[in-house]
Amino acid sequence: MSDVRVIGLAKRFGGLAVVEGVTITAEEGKFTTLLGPSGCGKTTTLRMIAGLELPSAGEIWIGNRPVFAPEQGVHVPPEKRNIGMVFQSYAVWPHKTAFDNVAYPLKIRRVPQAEIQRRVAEVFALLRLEGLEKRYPGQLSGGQQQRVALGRAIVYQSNVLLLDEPLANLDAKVREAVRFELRELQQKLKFTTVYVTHDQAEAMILSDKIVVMNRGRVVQEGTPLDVYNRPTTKFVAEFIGQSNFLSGFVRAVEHSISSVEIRGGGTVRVGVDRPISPGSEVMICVRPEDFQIKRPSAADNGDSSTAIPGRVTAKAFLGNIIMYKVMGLGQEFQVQTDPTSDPMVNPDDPVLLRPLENRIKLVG
Amino acid sequence: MHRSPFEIGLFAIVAIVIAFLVLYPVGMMVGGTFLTADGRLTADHWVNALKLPILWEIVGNTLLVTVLATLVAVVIGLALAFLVARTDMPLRPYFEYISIVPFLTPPIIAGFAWQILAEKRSGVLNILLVSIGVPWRLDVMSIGGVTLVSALYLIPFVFLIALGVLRSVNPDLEDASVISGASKFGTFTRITLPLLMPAITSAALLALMYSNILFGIHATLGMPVNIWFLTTAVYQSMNVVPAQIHHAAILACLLMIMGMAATYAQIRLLDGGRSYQTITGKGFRTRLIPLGAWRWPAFCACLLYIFVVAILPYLILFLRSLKPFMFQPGMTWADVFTGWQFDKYGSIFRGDDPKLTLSIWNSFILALAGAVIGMALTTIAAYILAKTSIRGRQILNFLCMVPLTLPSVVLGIAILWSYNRAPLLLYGTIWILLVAYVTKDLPLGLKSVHSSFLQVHAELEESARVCGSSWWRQFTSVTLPLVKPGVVVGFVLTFASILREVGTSIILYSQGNEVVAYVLFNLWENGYFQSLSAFIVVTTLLTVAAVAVFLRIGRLRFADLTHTSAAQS
Repeated sequence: MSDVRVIGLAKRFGGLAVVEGVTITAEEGKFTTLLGPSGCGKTTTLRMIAGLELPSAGEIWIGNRPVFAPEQGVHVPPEKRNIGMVFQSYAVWPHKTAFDNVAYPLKIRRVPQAEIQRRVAEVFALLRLEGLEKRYPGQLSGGQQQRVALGRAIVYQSNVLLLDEPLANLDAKVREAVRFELRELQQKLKFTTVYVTHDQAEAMILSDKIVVMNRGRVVQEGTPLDVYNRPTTKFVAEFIGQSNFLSGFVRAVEHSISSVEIRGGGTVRVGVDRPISPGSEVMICVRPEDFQIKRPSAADNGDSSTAIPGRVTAKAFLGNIIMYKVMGLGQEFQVQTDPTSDPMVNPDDPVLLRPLENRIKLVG
Repeated sequence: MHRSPFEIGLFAIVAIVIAFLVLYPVGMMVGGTFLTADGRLTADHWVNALKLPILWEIVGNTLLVTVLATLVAVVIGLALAFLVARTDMPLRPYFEYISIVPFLTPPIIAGFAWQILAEKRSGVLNILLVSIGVPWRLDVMSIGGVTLVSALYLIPFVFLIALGVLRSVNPDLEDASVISGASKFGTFTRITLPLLMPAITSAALLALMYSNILFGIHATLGMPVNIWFLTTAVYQSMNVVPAQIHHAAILACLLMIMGMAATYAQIRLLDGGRSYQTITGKGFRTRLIPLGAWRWPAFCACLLYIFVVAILPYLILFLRSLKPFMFQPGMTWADVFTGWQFDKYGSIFRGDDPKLTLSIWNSFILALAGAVIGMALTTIAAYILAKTSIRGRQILNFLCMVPLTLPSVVLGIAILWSYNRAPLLLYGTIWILLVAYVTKDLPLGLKSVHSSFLQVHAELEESARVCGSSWWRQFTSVTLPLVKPGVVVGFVLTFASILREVGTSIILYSQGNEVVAYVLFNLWENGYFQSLSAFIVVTTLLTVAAVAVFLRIGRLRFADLTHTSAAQS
């Protein structure tokens, strides 16, 4: 197993940059996910790591070995990179049995027949595919084909495992089960894994590290917790989880705490983790669960500084949570409460929304 | 997607070879019609040809038969496709074999058979009509007869296109209409038919184009009674002494223009975005319309069609091969089935006429060589088209499709014109036939293989590379096995097509280089119907045996041919 380092990677078609200045490290034995909307360049990045796409600029290292380094004239073809890869369509060869599909990389590597038998059997046992060895892909379910593809990618001692939206074509139920299985497998075998998806829930469950991409660039990277709790841009806050945004300007900054005046809604105190000067325009991100919602009462008159007045427009009971839509300050807010602390307000009721100061954050 | 120097080199070689095969003869022929014997520019040939009064009669006949046959073919082809795709007619799946009728019964054989069946005085069907006391007679050797027989053999082309589109119409679209309050019939006329219109128009244009390749039917049913079409007029201009090659070339140009006009219209139609995307990714089952009491009559109608186009012709040819005399007026029905003689078969097997045996050898060797060379060229072309990103590779598609617009007599004239001077002096050798066959079947080969290459998802190949195989290993262990069925089908179809190719054969043969199609035509022109019939039976059985062997070697079934044989759309 080795780590993967991508430095300043770019892919341009004519004047159009599909990937630009992407620098990523996928640590050894860790699960790294490239997350982003379709067309953000994540699959192209993965295919460049695999060697299936020729980068326009940058470097790619697998372990201590450069596999793409134009200055040194290095471009290792995919078959010499010793990687495993699972494709979105699984790419299980329809003219070979499940066994022959998984055995293929070993045959290419001239592994002795007995050893092939043993290792393929191991993989079939690991992936719970026993008994399906002689089946052709046409006789396997989607989930089984997916496991054959995975088996083919892990049967030899590859440096890295690359996965390109491998769960996208599975039914919702199967997909959920496979997510956890995949995470378990990765924990057990400690593969260096680079995973591509547009599904944020999948990324949260599977990853040690999430790299969020948009328009061909990396916009943020960190642990799932990090990325959710400290989005640095409006894009990340919106793409991962749900968010409400309040615009305002900075009044003062003191000990990494800024006072921000919300346009039309009083002042809140927000932690800052980067240099910011008073007077600058900022955006505050508030998750739906980070609002306190309550009925207005006489006691609020003296302390309305951080409360946003609004009116409930819709309410939905989802079992473990309750969702509200609230109109206030000329915009619509998503608010989420849990049934035990619900203020029991109804559509058309006036309410006050109070952002929880230790949970909100400044974005771009 | 890639473009290695090796692939670019391959592209250059194949493009040059195919461009030469296709463009050189046509260019020489068209250019030649504007040159005098000593190489000066002249319009005299065209002026003289266009002044001939019979020319306009010929063009008129050609257009009339083409348009009428197309109309009949569209109506019947659409009806057959509808029965097979959308109704609960019994044994529907088996009628998909309608699409391989052109492969089973080539036009020339159909023409011979229909002359024996429905000639005005001695046609077997007319003898039957007399014996059951029906007063009227069939006359297949007339404009109407040529139209109907042509239509019978154009139906499969319309059928195949209509079948595909009818199956791809999402039933939700029709259900939405029914829910909106339309009746079943109203839904068919307001929703289904309009959805099919682009495909129907496209099929009609295709049939229009193909009707010009029915030289066999035009010749057998028109020439003896002096009804001329452009196709047969081209041949006849070469058949008179001295040969009128300029005249033939100008008629050939007119035919080519008709073919190109139909092709251009078809391309415009498909590019215009009028081919509605009704195909959805999800598989859906088309709901079947219950025919009720009409189930079996519909079944019989479909069966009748297959019987008439594919079984009856061979039955009658077999029967005729056993009878020394032409069927006569006044013959009773019982006379047809008595007095059988098998001596013509004995004569063929004993080799009494060395020309027959030689022609079988020549044809089979040419078909084998032509199919190997043709498939090598088109497989490489299809690979470059589907699997590389070389700029300008689409030219291969265009070049390979050019012969579609050339009726085979036209190609024959063009090749005769251009390969009869040094250093390309091929006329008088058997190689000129090989060149003609390879050129003519480029479209067939490319169609068969190209779709196979397109169906191989790029990820299937990429995963082989990632698994550690080199490009060559990936190509041989993944790509080639997956496209093999397409290559085998292309090979078999090309092989069979060469064996039956008439137009170029009768123009380009020479002494000692006779081929089967030439011998057939020659026997027919001399009126040796019994020998002709026996020879057709023998060569057809040999062809079927060869095809069966190739399919066996390629591990394919006969049914695998259904999707490609008429798939020239």
